[in-house]
Amino acid sequence: MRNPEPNQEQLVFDVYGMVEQPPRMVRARRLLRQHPLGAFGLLIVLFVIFIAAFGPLIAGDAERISPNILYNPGSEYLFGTDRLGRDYLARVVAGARLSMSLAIGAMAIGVGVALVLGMVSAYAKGAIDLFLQRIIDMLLAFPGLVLLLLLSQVIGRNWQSVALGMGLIFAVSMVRIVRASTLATLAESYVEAAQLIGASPYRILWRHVLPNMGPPLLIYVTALLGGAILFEGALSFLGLGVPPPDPSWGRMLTEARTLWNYPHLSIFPGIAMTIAVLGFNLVGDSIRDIFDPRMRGA
Amino acid sequence: MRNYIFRRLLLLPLTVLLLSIFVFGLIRLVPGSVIDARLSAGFPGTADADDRAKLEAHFGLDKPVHEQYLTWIGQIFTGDFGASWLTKEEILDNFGRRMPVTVELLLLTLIIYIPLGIGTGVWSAIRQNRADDYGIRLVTILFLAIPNFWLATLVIVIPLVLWGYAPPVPYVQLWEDPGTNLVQMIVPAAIAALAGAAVLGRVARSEMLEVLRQDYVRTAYAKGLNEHVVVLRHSLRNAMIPLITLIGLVFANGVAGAVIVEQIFAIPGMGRYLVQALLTNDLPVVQVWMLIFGTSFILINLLVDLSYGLFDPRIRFQ
Repeated sequence: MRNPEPNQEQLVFDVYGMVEQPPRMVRARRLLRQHPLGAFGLLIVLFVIFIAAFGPLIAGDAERISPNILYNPGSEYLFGTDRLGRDYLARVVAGARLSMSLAIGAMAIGVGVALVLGMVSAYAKGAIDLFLQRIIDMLLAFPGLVLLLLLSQVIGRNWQSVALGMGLIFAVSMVRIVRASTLATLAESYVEAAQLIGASPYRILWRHVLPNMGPPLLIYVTALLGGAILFEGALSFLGLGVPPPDPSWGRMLTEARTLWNYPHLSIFPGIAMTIAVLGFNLVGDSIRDIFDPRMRGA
Repeated sequence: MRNYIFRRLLLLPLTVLLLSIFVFGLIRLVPGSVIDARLSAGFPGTADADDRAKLEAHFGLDKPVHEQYLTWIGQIFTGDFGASWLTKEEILDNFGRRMPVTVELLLLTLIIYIPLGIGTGVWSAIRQNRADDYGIRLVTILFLAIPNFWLATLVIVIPLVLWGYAPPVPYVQLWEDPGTNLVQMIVPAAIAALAGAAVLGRVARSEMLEVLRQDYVRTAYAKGLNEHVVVLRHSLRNAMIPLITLIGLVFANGVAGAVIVEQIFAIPGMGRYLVQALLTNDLPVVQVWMLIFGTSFILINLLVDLSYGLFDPRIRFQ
């Protein structure tokens, strides 16, 4: 990992490469100190992941219906209850689990599809490349949300298909990065050497091209994770996303609109969503700074 | 450059053709059609097979897919956009009624969006690492994280709870009552603009910082020019070139924002038309909507690519 502001000591390490690097923990701590906002974002992200993983165990059942409908936040129910008397804290916490699984699932699909399409497109060249790139051009012209609405119509409305839809949208925006990065690596002389000793295309892509993909993709992935949470929210908010009773933040906000005299119903999911997206955006900004010092502080 | 323009123009019909096939093909894959909705009030499988066959024949769904596509595209070329399957209204009539509404919303959005984004970005750049720069960056990061549909809900709910104020409903056309119309439109436009302005502001800031580091800017300062001239005449103009790239993004963001805010504020525009059509599986409407907007997105991106040469002579002579 390249340091944005190498001091003298580190420069020596980098130049000779023979001297031992400082331990991982020391380097990580240094990095966090240089990017306080990113460190703060990382803290938020870890918190949200912790809530998503263990929150439902602590906050209780998000589906349990009780006669205590529309309680305001208080000592009995910390976040109040919704129109079916469900504990709103449990629902918001369960929403974190849904949002995070969707975001991570979508990202895994997106990265996978983008890697395959991008590397094939760059390696195949010629007609296949031209054709694939025209399709990508066409899809890139659409706003992500509109394309997602169209896809959601085709692949159905449950959480798996929302993840698939978002994954495909993300793939569209990442294919070009993968393709450009593949083309750059394929021009290296070590790839030529590998071809000369008879390495198969599969081996070249897997052993030589893929390992170079890390940094450019990482910048995109963190930036898009926050976007995934917003996309899912918007989709569910329009009634085209995850169906009830799954506790999606976006749908909780839609339901809250008709119950406007119970403001706690719209405040808590909204804040939860903002915090989660903020965390990912801050981490994404710092990662971009670390890998691309040109954009520092932008 | 001329070759480049020529090649891009040649590829344009191909891209639009791909678009039409994509939209048409994707829509055919939709499970559970409007036929179910019409025949059995949304309970698939309860419809009579005979009625179903009759309706399918009526909509031309019994023919092979490529024939359906050719019929459809032929009708589009003759200006016949077809009718909604659900309400039987002509799609073209609906477009005529709704397009001005969305265009007004988009224009209002842009009027707020562009000066706000570029203004805060430039201000942030010339005051780099001072209190106002940090303040602007903090607010920008926050507005990128706040979901616009939540903000819109709060903007409706908070005045309602505190002062019992609600914006006038139902929607009034601009030419009927401009005052009421603007009251109805300005808040949705502002909300659609905020997140976009934050993106624009960040890019404007980094471009501006890049330019402010150039030698000619230092020369301009050294000549004793005042700050206004240096910033506005020497720096901003050069920082603007990369910002042109964002016009396509600005338009796309505006449309995506319109889809959301039209739904929340009950504005009868194109965005609401799309969402309603999606919710009711009204395929012809979705198809034509995607074709029209997709083509305009492609055209705008093309114009943006071609305009680089106009603004940057170095590109023109390559």
